[in-house]
Amino acid sequence: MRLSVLLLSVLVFFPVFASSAVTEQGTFSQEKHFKGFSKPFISTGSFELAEDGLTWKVESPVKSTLLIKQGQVYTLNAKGEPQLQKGAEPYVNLLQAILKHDEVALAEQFTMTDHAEPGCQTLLPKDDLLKQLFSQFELCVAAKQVSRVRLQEANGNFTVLRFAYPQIEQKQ
Amino acid sequence: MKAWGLTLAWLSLLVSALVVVFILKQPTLNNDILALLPKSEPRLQQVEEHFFAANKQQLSFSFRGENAVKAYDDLEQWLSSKHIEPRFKLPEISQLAAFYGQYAGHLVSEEYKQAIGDANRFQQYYFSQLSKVADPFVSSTINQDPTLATAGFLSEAMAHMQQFELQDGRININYQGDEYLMLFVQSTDNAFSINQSIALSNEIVAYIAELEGRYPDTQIRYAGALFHTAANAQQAKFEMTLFGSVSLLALIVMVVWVFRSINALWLASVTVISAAIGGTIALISIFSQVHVLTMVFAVTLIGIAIDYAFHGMLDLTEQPQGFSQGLKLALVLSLLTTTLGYASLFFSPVQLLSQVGVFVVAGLVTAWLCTRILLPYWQAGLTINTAARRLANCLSGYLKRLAHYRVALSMLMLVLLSAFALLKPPVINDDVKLLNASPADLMQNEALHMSLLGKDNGQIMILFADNAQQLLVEQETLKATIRGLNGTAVMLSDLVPSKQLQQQNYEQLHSAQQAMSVVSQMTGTTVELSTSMLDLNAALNSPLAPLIANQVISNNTLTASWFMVTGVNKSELMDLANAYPDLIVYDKVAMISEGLSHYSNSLLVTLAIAMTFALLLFSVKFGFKTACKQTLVLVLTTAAVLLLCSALQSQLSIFNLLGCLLILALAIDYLVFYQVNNLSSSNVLAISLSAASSMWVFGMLAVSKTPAIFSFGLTVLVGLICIYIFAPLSIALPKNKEK
Repeated sequence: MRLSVLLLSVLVFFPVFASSAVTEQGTFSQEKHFKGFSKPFISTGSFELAEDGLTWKVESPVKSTLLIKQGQVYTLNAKGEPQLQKGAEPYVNLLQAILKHDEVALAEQFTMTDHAEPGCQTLLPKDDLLKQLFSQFELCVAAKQVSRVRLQEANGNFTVLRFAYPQIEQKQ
Repeated sequence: MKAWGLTLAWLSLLVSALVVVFILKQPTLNNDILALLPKSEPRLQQVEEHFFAANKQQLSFSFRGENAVKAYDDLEQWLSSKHIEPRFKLPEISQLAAFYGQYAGHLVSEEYKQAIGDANRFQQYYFSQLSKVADPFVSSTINQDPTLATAGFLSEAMAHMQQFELQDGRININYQGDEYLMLFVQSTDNAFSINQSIALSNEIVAYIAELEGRYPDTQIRYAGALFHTAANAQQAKFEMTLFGSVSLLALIVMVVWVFRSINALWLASVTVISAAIGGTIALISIFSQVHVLTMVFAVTLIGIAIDYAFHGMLDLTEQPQGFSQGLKLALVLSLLTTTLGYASLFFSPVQLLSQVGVFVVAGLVTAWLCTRILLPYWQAGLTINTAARRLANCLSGYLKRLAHYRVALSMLMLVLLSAFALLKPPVINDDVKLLNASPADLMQNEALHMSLLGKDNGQIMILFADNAQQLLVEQETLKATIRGLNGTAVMLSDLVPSKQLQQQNYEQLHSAQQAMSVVSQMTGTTVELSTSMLDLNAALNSPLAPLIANQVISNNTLTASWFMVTGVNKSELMDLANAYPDLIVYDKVAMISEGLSHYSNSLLVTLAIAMTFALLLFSVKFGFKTACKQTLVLVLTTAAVLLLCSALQSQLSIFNLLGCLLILALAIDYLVFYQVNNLSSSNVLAISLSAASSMWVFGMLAVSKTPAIFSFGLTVLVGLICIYIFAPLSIALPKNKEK
C-alpha cells in the first residue's frame, strides 16, 4: 500500500522533464492549507511536460526535483543523481492525464462533473486508494491549459496548485 | 465343527480384548506427519503451531496476460462464494494515522532522527515534506502530529511491511519482464478431509480451466497445500485401489490353486487378522496416541505373519497328526529371531519406529499362537494340488543344483558387490523433497510463486525472549547487525518499537527545541509531544492487529517472533544464530530432512542388531560355521538390495531401509526353515508361497508413482529375488549329495 500511496505524491502533480521535445512547460505555486497551521504553506517551482516524461522542480522554500521518464519515477539525490522510486508506474498515466487535461484518461479514474465556476470541473475519485485521501479534485482550465487544481482531502486539509505557462518557443 | 468353534472363539477373544483396551485406553490417532519427527523443543512446537498452522489453509494464484485483471476479479469473486476469502487486508491509512498519532514524539523514522539533530537540516526535511503535492502520510497525520514524526515513521514502517506494488488493490509484480497479478486467499475451514480437499481442488482447477477458456490470452497458476494434498491423495487412492485389488486377487488365486480349498484362504486370513489385532492391542496398551503412519509401516507384518500360515498348512498336509517337530522348531526360531530384530526398535528415539516394533512383535507372537493352536484343527481339510507339488519338486531340484555351487556363487557375489560398492557407493539421501509426489506442474507453480514473492532467497528466523520488551530490543539490535551484513529484515519492531527506543526518541525530540522552532512557526503554537508509549498489547488491539498477531506470540510461558531475512546467505545467518542463544534459523525442510536422518540411522542400527541376534541364535542352534554362512547370506542380501536400489534410484531413502527390514525378517525366516527342513518340496513350496505373496503385496509397489512407495516396493522386489536365490546357499548338504 505504502508505495502506491506514496506514488500519489508523485501522482498527478509532479513532473516534467525529458530529453524529447517539451510539449508543455511552466511554473507553479502550491498552497497547502492544514487545519493546525496558522498560515498556508506555500512552495513554488517549475515543471516540464514532454512526450515521454515529466519534470517537477520545487525551487522554494527548498529545492527538490522529481522526474518521470518512460514510466519510471526518479528523485534526484544530493549529488543530482536520479534515484528510482519503485511502484510509481500505475500513476504515471494519471499524472500526465491531469497535466494534459486528457479527459478520456481521467474519466477512467474519476467521475467528472461540471463545477459551478466556469471552466472548472469536479473530479470524484473512483479508485479506493485515492478515495482514502481525497474527497474530490477541482480542475480548472484556461486557454486549453490547466490553470488551477484544488485537492480536497477527506480530513479537511486542502492544496491549491496554480500554473502559469510562458511560451514554449522561448524555452526552445 | 470343533475347528470352526475354536477359531471363532479365538477371534472373539481377540476382538473382545481389543474392545476392552480401546475402552480403557481411548487411544487417539495422530495424522500429523511433523509430529513424528524427533521432538524439537516444546517452545518451538508452540511457535510453529501459532505462526504457521494457518499456512495449510492458504492458496495463491498468479495471473499473466492481457485479461489478467478480469480473470483475477472473476476468480476472486468465485472463491468468495466458496468462503475462500482474501487474506489480511491492510487497514486504511486514516486508521493507521489515528492509531500511531497517539504516540507522537515516540515513533520516529531513521531519516527523521538524522535530520532532527541539526536545525537547518530539519528545516530542509520539514519543508521538503510539506512541499510534496500529496504525501498520504503527511496528509493523514499532520493534524494530529504537526512535527511530521508520525508521518515519517508510518512511511518507513509501511515501506518495510509492504514490499509489493498494489494496482487497484491487486498485488502487481514485475518478474523477468512479465507483469503478474497475485491473489492470496485463505479458506475459513481448517479441517478439510482428504475427500473434501480433492473435491475443492478439482472444483478450483476446473474453474481455472474455464477462465483460461474465457480469456485464452491469460495464464493462471495456482499453488497451496490443498492442491498438493489433493494430488497426492488422488494418486495414492488410485494406486491403493489398483494394487490392493490386484494383489488381493492374486493372493486368493494363488492360495486356492495350491491348496484347492477355501479353508486355506480362511486360515491364512485368520492368521493375518489375528496378528493385526494382537499388534493393535499391544500398541494401544502402551501408546495412548498412535500415529497413522505406524499403521502404514506396520503392514509389513502381513508379509511375515502369512508365512507362518503357509508353513503350518503345508506341514500339516504331509504329517499324519499335527505339526512335525521340524516345523515347530523352525517356527519358534523364526519367531525368536524376527521378534528380537523388531524388538530393537523399542528403544528407537523415534516414536514411530518404537510403535512399529511393538506392533510387529506382538502381531508375530499372536500369529505364531494362532498357527500353533488353531491350524492343527483344520488339518483334515488341507490338501495340496498335485500341480503345485510338481512345481515345488521342480523348484526344489533347481535350488539343490544351485546349492552345489554355493561357494563359487557366494564368492562371485562378494566380488561383484564389492566392486559395485567401490564403483558406485550407496548414498542415503534424507532430503524430504525427494519424497514429494506432487505433479511436476504443481511444483513449477510453487517455485514460480516463491520467485514472484522473492521468497526463494529469503530465510525465516525465530527469536525467543523472556518478555515482549526484551524481544523488541533484541530485534532492534539484530536488525542493525543484519543491515551490517548488507541484508534486510522485516520485523515486528518496525511496527512496534521497543519502549527503550521510544524513550530515546522522545528525549531526542524533546531536547531539539531549536529544530522544532520551525514547526512552532508554522502552527503558531508550541510543540507538544504525547506522553504515551506504544506497547505490544496496544498494537494487538490496533487496526494492524491481524498482521502483528501473525508475527508474535507472547504469553506467560513464551514470547517469540518470526521474521524474514533477505540478502544474507544461510551460513552467515547460522553464525548469527550461534551468537544469539535465543535466535534460530527456521528451515522446516531441513528440519524434516534431519528428522528423516534420525529414522535412517535408527533403521541402520536395527538392521545391524537384527543380524547380530540372528548370528547368535543361529550359532546356538546350528553351530557357528552354519551361522556364519547364514549371516553371510543376510549380509549379501542386504548389500545387494541397497547397492542395486541405490544404483536404480540414484540414492537411497528411509523407505529403502524400511523395505530392507522386511526383507531381513523374511530372509531370517527362510534361512531357519531351510536349515530345519532343508530343500524338501513342501518347505520349498512354503517359502515360494511366502515369496510370491510378499511379491504380490509389496513387490508390485515398485510400479508406484509415489516416491516413498516406489522405494519400498523396489527394495522388497529386489530383496525377494535375492533371498530366494541366496537363502538355499546356506544349507549344509550331505557331502555325498554334494558330489
